[in-house]
This record gives sequence, structure tokens and C-alpha cells, in this order.
Amino acid sequence: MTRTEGPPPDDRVERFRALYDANHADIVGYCRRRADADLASDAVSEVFLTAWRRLDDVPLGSDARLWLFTTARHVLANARRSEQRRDRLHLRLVSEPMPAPVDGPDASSVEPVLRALATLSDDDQEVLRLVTWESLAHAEAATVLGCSVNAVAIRVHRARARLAAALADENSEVRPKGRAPIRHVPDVAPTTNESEPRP
Amino acid sequence: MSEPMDSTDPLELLRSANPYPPASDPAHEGLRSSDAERLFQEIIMTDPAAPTAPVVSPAERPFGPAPTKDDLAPRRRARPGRRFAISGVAAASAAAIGIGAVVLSPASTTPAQAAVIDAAQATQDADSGTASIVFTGDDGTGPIEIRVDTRFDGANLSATFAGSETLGTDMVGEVRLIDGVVYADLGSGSWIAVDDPRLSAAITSFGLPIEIGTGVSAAIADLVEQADDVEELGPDHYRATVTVDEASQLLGQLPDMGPVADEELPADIAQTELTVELRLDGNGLIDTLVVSGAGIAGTDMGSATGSITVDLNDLGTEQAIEVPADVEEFDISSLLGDN
Repeated sequence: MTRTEGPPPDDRVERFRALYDANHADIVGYCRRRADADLASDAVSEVFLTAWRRLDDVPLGSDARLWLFTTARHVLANARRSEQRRDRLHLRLVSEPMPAPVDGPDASSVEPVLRALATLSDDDQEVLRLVTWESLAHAEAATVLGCSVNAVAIRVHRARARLAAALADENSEVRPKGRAPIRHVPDVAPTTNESEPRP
Repeated sequence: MSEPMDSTDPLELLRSANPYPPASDPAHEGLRSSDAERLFQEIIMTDPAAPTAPVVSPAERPFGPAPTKDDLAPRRRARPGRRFAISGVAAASAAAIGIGAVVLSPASTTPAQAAVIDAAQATQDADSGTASIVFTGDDGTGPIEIRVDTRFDGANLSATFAGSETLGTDMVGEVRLIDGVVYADLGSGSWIAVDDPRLSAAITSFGLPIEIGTGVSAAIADLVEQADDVEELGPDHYRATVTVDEASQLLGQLPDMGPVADEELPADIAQTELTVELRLDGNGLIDTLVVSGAGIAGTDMGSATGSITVDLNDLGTEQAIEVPADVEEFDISSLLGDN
């Protein structure tokens, strides 16, 4: 670890202290809603270490929270990519797509909802999590996701519809087989039945 | 307990299913205050001037892009010591976060692989541009060609279709998706507008995501990471071999592929090899992607050939996708059985 030669300047520490105290719980919550406890702890450390190193880049006011959410999103995304890489090396991994409820609502009532959520694409899941679990407004979610407010509104609208459909499947006990809607490879040579024009 | 909710609203159901309720409830704080304070103290004792790769900042890029290759780099730097045990997924994460991925991986990312992944991730930064997708093939009875030219701006999309008669898709037309409203000219020269989320959802579910450029780029990065034979054929020119199974996510980003669950692919089809060829532009962005295959083992498509070419252009350039003039509104609710 690279440590400072002496104590850091007080004003820098004070600013980081304010940032840390104001946002630590939110970032812990964000990470715990998307990862198990160990990975979340690592991610929280990474997020705030990044903020410390790049304190001058962290915006002031409420935008700081969004900056931290964005950083946490990237940290977790990279960790997931690392998991996938190790999967390909056939290393044994513990995969935990959704965190277990922590003293939260009754598990039996939330499991079908979480299962339905898990059938959506990653993008759909994230936009819904941001507006519900993180209580972000569309404009805030747009900043975190790196897209326009309009795009968030449209994504939420569509993701909500897909979640409703997935919940309906859950209720009828017809479980989706796939995690996300995956389209198949091109019909290199379509058979007669596959020759119908598609929209 | 959860608050009373409207059980028919999926967002309310999801809100109540929050696996880690708001931090305002101290019982749910993930790190005890002493742990939080210890982490704080460890962080401020690290040298903020230590070399670090940039992490995407909303302040720098208001519509912050997806993680870039550089975002991985900070994990190789010193991290504050923590008392938390690293195990399970965390161990997996730490392996790549630190030096583990390099040490453990006998086939760590090659320079060619890294170059393509870098380009794919950089390309994701652009949420506007154009993409031309051409599917060509020959099933032994004649050539097939379907062409889709799209323009996308992060929120709206325009797609022009042209297909060969062989497939019965000789239709030439254009569809625009603007603010959730579908405008279509199906070759007659006159436009209809359909303001129904079910139709716009259907269009995107058929593989025309508004973020088609970034979606393709993200899929390329994932795909190339899985390939173990990425070759540099020349300057900004790469080739890799992947299986149908590995390519399905990528192809799922393209139009008109027909939705089917990944696990429904029979094993012999899933393992059929495809060639992926990529060219980068001079700015390190994806320029052209060609996926081609010859035959699918074990099926009556064995003699067929086909390829899909995706050309990405004008990335980051705003696209004027406008509501057409002289639009006639069309109500599809009766067709969908609402009445």
C-alpha cells in the first residue's frame, strides 16, 4: 500500500469526511443490493478509495452521491466480468446473482419478485433497481446510467412491462427458462417454415 | 415490514422486495460504524497521488459511459488493508482486482484480445451514430440478403429495411421509434404512427434496441473475451473463432434474429464455430464486424453459408431522427384484442 509521507491536509480530509459520512450508508446499500457481503465490502472500499484519490473530480452537493453510484456500478460490473473470466478458466466460483434479504421483508414474499427481476436483461434490472431500491429520479438514474433522461423514461416503461409479464409467469408457475431474452443465431439457410417475413 | 402497496404495480412490488432496505434503518447498515470508521482511516492514509487510472466520472462525462478498460486498472493498485475476509465471490473478484487474474490465468488476455476489448469498450461511450447491418447467405437455392440501416441517438431510433425476395422479405420500409411512438412507412410512402408501448416494446424485443451501437459493442467485448484465438491480421484488423453458443449474445443485439432461449440451442448447433472479423477505425473504435459461418452441424442447413456484417459509423455524432410529416395515427388496440 502506498501511504502518504505525512498526514494529509486537513481540508482534504474534512471534505472527504463529509462525503464519506453523507454517502457511506447509501453506497453500502447500493452494493449490498447487487452483491454478497464480501464482494460488497470490497466494492465499497474501492468506491471510496477512488473518491479519495479523485476527490477533486467528485462533484459537490447531491451530484456527489450520483458520482459514487456510478463508480460503484462500474466497480461491480468489473467484478462481474472478472467472475465470468474465471468461469472460463473453470475455476470454481460461488455465484450469487441476487443477495439474500438481510432482515428485510419476508423472503417468501420477495423471492418471486426477485426471480422475476432476474429474468430481465441487466439493463432492465439496473434501471428498475435505481428507481425503486435507490429511489432515484429519472434524471438521477440517467446520470448514473450514462444516458438521457428520455432514454431512462423509456427504459423504465419497458422494463416495468417486462417485469409485469415475468411476475405473471411467476404467478402462473411458468418459470422463464432464460435469464434474459436471448435471440438465436441467424438462420443460415432458413427452412420453408422459417422463411416467413418478420416485422 | 413492507409498506402497504398496490399489488398490481410491479414497481411497488419490486420496491417492497428490496433485499437490503434503506440505510435510514440502522439495523440494515452493512458495515458497523467501527468498521466504517476503520475503512475511512485506512483510506485517508493512502497516498491520493499514487498512480491510478481514471474512473469514469459523471462530472467529466455527464452521460457517463459504461466501464472502460481503464476502469479495471485501479484494481491493480494498492488497496487499503481490510479486516474483511476475502472469500467466495470476493476471492473471485479480488483475483482480477489484484494480481490474481494474471497469475491464475494461463491464457491471460493477449495483446490482440486486449486491443479489441479496449475498442469495444471505447465504442460503448457513443450512444449515437449509425449502424448498417447486412445479412447475406445462400441456402443452396439462391442468395439471400437483408439489409437494415439504423440511426440511433440514445433515445430514438430509425431503421430502414430492405430484404431479398428469396426470404419473402422484399419489403422496403422505414420504422422510427421516437419518444416511445412508432412511426412506420411500410413502402407505401405514407406514414402511420402508433402510440402503444406494446408495439415499441415488440420492436426493441425483435433486436432493434435504441442503443444498438453500444449494445453491439458491449457484446463484442464479451465475445472476444471468450475467444482464445484472437489474431491480429494487420493494423486494426483482428479475427477470432467463437461458437454459436458464445455468439448468441452478440447476435441477439442484431435485428431479426428471432428470439429463442439460449438453452434451447441443441448442443451440436451451439458448438458450431463462427468466424468473427473486426476492423477498428483510426480512433480505436469498432468500425466493422463480420460474423460468418458455413453450415450448422447435424442439421439440414449443413450446406448453407451466411454472414452478418455490422458497420458502425458516425459514433458520437448526433442523429436527427424526426417525426415524419403527414402522419396518420393508427390505433392497434383492436388488433391486440383490447376491445
